[in-house]
Amino acid sequence: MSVMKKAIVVGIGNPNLKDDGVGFKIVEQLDGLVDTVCLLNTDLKVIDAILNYEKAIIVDGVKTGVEPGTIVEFDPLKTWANVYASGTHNLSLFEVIRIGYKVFPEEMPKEIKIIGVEIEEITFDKECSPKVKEAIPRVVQKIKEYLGLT
Amino acid sequence: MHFTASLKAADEIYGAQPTETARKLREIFYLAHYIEDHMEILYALGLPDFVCGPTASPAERNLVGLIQKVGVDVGKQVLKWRFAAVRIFEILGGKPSHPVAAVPGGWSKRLTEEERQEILRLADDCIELGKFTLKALKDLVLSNPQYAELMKGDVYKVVTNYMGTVDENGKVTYYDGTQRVVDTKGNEICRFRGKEYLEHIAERTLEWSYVKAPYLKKLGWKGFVDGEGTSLYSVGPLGRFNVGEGFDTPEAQAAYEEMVEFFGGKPVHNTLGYHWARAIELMHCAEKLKELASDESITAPDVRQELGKPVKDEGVGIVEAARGTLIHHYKVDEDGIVTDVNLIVATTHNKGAVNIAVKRAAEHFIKEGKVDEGILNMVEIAYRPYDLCFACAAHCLPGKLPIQIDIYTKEGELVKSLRNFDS
Repeated sequence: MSVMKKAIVVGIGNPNLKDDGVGFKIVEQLDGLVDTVCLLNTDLKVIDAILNYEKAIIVDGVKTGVEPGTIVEFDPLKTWANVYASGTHNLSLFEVIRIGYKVFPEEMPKEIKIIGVEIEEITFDKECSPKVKEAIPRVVQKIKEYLGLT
Repeated sequence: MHFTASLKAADEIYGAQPTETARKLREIFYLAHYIEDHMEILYALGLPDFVCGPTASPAERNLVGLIQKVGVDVGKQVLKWRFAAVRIFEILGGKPSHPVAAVPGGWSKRLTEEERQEILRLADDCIELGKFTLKALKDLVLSNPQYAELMKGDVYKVVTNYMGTVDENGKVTYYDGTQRVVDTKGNEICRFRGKEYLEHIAERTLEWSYVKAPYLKKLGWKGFVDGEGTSLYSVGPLGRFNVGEGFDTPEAQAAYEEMVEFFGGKPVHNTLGYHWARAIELMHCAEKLKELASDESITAPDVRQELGKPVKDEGVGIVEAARGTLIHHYKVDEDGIVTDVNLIVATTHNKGAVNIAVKRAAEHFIKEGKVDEGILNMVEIAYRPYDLCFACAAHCLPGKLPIQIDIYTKEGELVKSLRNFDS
């Protein structure tokens, strides 16, 4: 059996598409503190990224209908809802995680937390909209506390 | 795929064709992505319709359902083989996603001998994935008489012309080659490269769609009709299968011959054949990847050209994306800043064929207005082989897409109007 590493933070999105880049921007602020990876879509690469970690945090822009910038948390082990992710070529993130647990029950993280930031707009822009931008330090702090990095 | 098409356009704009080593590295990178993409489309979208059953609930008819049917150990093995392609992509692209190695005229990341050896080992896993996928298609789909009939029958059949890319021997190729178009009988209509696409393809704007409808200029716009004489054409795995004269690797060629025999010749117009052709290509890409990685010269240092200012004010990059022919056409100013863009993506090329495929299946399965989830899926099966991407085709990012649906009685009286935008 592979040795389990402690934790990874996965940012999902496209840094050139305004609020869809929020996951990347959060991950950038955690570089060097914890293992991180950025992915374009919620496809099977999510499984590749989180296998053999004890804890995984997945950060993405989401659209659930609440106020932009709102932080929405999901525990994929308890919540099997589907949420509209903001990318263009996605499998359902929850489905991908289900596949991971089905196929690799030993290697998947014992804890996975999904942190969504409600997006406002997706268009060509390297900067997030103000409300989404304001959420970034709050999410970074939340992740640091959760992983005991502070 | 878009990454590579735009890179090839940049090569042209900067007058810097990739060095031999860079070209080979780009091709290996491209093939690895193909393997991963084809695997996901086949296992997540194509096979569940057959393995879980075409009228099964969507809750079961997916990759999880597929794994449940074939067994967790098989699912684990398939995903592990797939990791090999992702790892190759990471080695060459510098990251598992968002590759950073593209430079006009080259590839910024050299390959070490150690990495080449790793790719060689990983290529064996990709070949195993290819073999397994072809066998799974045979065992789970073709050996079932009901599915074999569905594959061969007229419900999922659209008779169009076809476009794809071939090498100097007429074989199917992906990264670079000549675009070839054949008619509904398989006779060549035209060949072109780069900007010449403008002489052969026109895009018709439609009032009712965000996606344009391309057609062959030589044959003129004839509307959404298939059959002999149509000006519509299809692209993608089946398009390449119909346009190419086979594959240049042994396993893929054998599988190609088997498919030709099953359908009794070419061109094959049965759209479920897209899945089979996709499985053959997965095998082909794995074999090509191994062949290219076996070449010791790919660790050579000549991966970049000297780059100056742009030498041309426009460039066209054409690749065979997994979904089909992908055209990127850019115009730039003296500093290389883009001033105009046109993209024709696979889903756009396939616009006409997809519309006909859906209509044909709907007319066949929906009787007296009675529809249930199973019937709807039988209609969805008609477009799934094309592996649609409407975001790319409509050049529209996700977000709020303004849609208005007007519902009329058969006498033309407006009953209800629904919209998701403020007027």
